[in-house]
Amino acid sequence: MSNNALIEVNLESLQHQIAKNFASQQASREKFKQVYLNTLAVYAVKNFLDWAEFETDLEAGDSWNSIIRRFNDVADLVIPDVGKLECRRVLPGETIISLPPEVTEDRIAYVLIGFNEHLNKVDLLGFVPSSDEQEMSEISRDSLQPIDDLIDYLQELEFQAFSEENTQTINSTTTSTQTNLSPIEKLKQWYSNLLETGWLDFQSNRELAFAVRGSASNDKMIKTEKIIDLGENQPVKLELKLTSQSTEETEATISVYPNGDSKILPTGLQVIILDEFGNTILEDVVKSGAKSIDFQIALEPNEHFSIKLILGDIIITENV
Amino acid sequence: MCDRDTKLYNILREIFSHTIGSIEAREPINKLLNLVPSLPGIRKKDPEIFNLALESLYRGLIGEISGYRIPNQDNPEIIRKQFVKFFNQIYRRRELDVRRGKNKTISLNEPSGRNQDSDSENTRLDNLADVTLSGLDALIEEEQLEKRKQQQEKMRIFMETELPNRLNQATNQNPQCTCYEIVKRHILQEPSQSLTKIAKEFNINYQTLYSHWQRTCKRELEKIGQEFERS
Repeated sequence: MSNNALIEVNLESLQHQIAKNFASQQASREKFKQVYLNTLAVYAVKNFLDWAEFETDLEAGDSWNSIIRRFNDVADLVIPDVGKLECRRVLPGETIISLPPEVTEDRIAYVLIGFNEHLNKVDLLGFVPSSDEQEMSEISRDSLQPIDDLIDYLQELEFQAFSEENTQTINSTTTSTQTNLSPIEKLKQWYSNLLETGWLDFQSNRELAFAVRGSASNDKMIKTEKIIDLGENQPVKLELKLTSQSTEETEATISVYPNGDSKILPTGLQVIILDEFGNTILEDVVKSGAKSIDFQIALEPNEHFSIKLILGDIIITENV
Repeated sequence: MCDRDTKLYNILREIFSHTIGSIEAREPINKLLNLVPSLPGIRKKDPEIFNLALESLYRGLIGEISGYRIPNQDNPEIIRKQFVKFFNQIYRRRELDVRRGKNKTISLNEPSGRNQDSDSENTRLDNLADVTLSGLDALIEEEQLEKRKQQQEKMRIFMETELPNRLNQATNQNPQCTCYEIVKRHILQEPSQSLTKIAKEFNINYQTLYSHWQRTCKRELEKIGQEFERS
């Protein structure tokens, strides 16, 4: 369907400044222009989505990753929990827009942005939802859906994402109840997920069963750890012990120790345990000379939490 | 959290305890429509657009069009924030309808003649950039470009020698599938190989590979990029 309805979006000096900074890291004129215009294209869509009250996360995109944008032609914008939009630049006179292979995967839609001679404003020309059935290699301006409808499309996707998340929660709860997962099975699942996020594999390639220690009772425990860099040679070790006492509840012990040369934790280090909605459950501040700090919390099946470490300007959050 | 959050929460729960479109749901829906204007953060500057948005909300709740669905969430404040965001998105959509009329182009930044929600309008207009497409070449500094070419060569060597060690984090499904192997195929190779193909090649689940890439590899890559820029 052909669409002539445009939305004109202004671009601010600061956004141009960031585009120039990104572009200045490139080694050729062609790449300089590509990165400059890609950055503006992403900002144009972000400005529109801000106006329409959709949350976006610039830094989560490949286009904000200095190495990826150096090697790939990317202009993606992440909408948290929904997906990525690809914001493709359209130069004057272009009617067919080629898509490089690196942008044909994991996009929820392609938004075309028309550039004119003056770069203080651009036109949002329309969008094309991505298709699961076929990989797209080019977009014709004639195939665009009206840009106004992008709001409806994203709203629907937000709800779908929300429904899927709830369905998954319901399904996993149901499965857990139906199959009555043993404590060891639950911990194996959890452990496996933790390893995906950079926690150390304690059993060093041995069978997982070795990492899961049974006590005289039915309790099962696993232990894993992660080194956190707090800057200025102040690494700390975050240790996590998960003990499953029954099929209904798991106990987590979170400990922070010094790592490296120092035998004590950095004074003033703030450690906060947050629930899955970001509410503080427990918090403490390291006092002078402290060698460790510990917390214990009880968790329901499938309940997640976060550990936040704050030291001066450094804030690190680990999701568990 | 305020009383209105709890009131909204209870009304929404009541609406969704009935079948969508049923007579029983009408009464709580009317309560909701009366409550909406008083919710903190609700967009209502233009009465005409507000009424159109309210009508869209109503039509969605009675099942005439795709509409609001209550999240599986027990925190009234979170429910209110999510509801207000949803309503404001509808408001913006209806605003486009009203302003569109016969206008081919709508500017988000120019006064529409009917209302302006942006308080910082003038500031934003003052801060517009003055760069042209044909003037982009002038922004490229020759000296910098030469320096960058040398740096690009340094990076190429770094990629070949150092990166395999720095990006040795493997997925737990296949120890051969390290971040470096993914970066090599997905970023450095031309044309880029898709994550789907990489997952097949290493015989691992796509979601496992995708989350490993997003959570571990990309973060490390960004860290390396920043270190490289500083060097």
